Amino acid sequence: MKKNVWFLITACSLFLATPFLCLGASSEGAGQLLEFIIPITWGNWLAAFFPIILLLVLLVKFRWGAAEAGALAWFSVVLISVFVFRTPMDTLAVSTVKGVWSAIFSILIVVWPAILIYAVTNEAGAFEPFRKGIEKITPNRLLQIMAFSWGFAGFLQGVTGFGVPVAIAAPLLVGIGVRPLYAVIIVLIGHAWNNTFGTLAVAWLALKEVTQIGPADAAVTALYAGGFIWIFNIVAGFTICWLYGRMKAIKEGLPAVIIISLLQGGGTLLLSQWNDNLNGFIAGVMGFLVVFALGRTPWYNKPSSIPPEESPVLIKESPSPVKNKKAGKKEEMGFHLAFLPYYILLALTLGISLTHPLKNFLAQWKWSISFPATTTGFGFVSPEVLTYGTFKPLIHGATFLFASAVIGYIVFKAKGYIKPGGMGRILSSTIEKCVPATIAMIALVALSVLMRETGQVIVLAYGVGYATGPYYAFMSPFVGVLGAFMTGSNTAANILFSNFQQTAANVIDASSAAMLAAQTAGAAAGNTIAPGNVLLGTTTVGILGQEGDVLRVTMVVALGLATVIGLTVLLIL
Amino acid sequence: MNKKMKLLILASFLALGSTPLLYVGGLNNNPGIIAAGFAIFCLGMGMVLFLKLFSKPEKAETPPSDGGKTS
Repeated sequence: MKKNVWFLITACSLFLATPFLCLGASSEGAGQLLEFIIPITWGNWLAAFFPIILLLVLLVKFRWGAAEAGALAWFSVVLISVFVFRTPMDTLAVSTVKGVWSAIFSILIVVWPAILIYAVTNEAGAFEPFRKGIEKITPNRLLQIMAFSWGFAGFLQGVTGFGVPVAIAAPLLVGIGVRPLYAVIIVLIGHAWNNTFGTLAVAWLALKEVTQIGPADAAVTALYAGGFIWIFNIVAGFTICWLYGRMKAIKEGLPAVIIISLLQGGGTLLLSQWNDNLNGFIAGVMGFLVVFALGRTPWYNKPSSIPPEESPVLIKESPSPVKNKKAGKKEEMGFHLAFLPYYILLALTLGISLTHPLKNFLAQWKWSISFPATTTGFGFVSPEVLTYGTFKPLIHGATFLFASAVIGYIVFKAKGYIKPGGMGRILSSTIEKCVPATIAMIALVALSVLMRETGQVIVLAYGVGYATGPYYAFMSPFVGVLGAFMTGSNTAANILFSNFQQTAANVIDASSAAMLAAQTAGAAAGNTIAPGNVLLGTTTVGILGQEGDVLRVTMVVALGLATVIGLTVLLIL
Repeated sequence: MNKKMKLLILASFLALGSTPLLYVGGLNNNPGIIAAGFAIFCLGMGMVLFLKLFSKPEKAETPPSDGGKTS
């Protein structure tokens, strides 16, 4: 406790000193490449960066949970917004409400039913038969893990976003014997490659809309984006193998990585020139289905050469980590019945999302909130929004999750797999996990929205541009990472920074196609470290508070990828 | 339900409950209502920090299906 208090005092002293840094900082930038309404000074940039570094230090170094780290970072953002970025109280108030609304209707609305579906499946004792069923597809644990974290999660991301891939695939991995921490890490890395062209290419379409690039430029940009995403995809496959068993697992997983990546990454690259909307879906489907074929090959129709006890990602009690004590019936459940809630989820998601007339009909029921325009003392304006955070309940992944959980409960109960009192245990377990996640998500999203609404995120991006000058192209994917880190969304990051990337490319006479592609690929990578996404994963597998441990791995992957993409962009110039 | 869980529930309700005040205050630029809303929101956030700084560390909870492993 003493260490925490001293840290708190140090943190308070540092950010109270920040306004004085700003006053003393020079008003001259490294090179005024781009004009912005807020002066891009070292002081302002450091002030904007302080909450991010505070959050990361608390999570990664001091292993605070997301709730308390988010709360302290939120306090720092409020003070910095008021004293450095001249934010009036009404702007603070409106931004906070926007943050709470986004937290609930963008993320928490998925977290709650995802935890419920896990609780229902667990109460019914469905994970053990599920795990045994997977063994029949392939007894190779490495391929099983790739199947769920990379194939299935990538497929889900191709169909529906909203965090559903993480919320579903991570608990499934735990169900087959993966340690919860690694389940979250592996799924975060395994699904994010499909963020740009997945979910009917919403993130990609947002980039095109914001930048207004023509068809020819869009085709070139999509080609570059497809190439960068393929790099990401390959890295994801090898990272999963590396985590599983280092070089030995990479050798064992090499055929699967090559084949799956050819279909997912290579498919994305090819499809980028043909169809935006179906790109991520088709690439995701191909990558998932090929796993079943791989399971029959001589490479993977036998157990992994790495015994479970030697793999750091597996629970040591394998091969039967799930104690089926809670099942109400002695007769063992079959695999397909065990997977029933997820079949229902897939049927609802595919059936509604891909049937446009039905989707359009159901989409008419929606609710949103309006916000007035706000401004800061620097004149940074956040425009009026008449329909902020529109939630369409009948076509949202959260509704599909909830319906799957309810139907799954009814069926399991009818067949006797849920003992009397099961509903109470399910709800109790769900609430216990939901509550800490709720306050944590509110804190994290509120601070990121406040930073966005007061121009601090833009100051960060512009500052990077000013500091790097003609070499900014290397940093373009890092700006994409920053955008996704702050917003938790590839789409939102593209909306936030695509114009900036395009303008910067023109100023430094670089390829705007390459830099826009780097923006969206970097944003995809940034999703692996977005605190909201990490929190979603840790909550659904029951390790809330270990967000820092997840970030220690995913940050290396995200920043490493951004470095590779940045170097590639420099070569393209 | 333990004390920590009850305080977290309260913190969540405070944060959520303050938003109508912040919304109305922000729409009408009413300092009094904004201040009240912020006070409640800060109380919610402060409660989380209070729990971190002044409560005893607990063992991490695990889902039943992973055999009791924490991570």
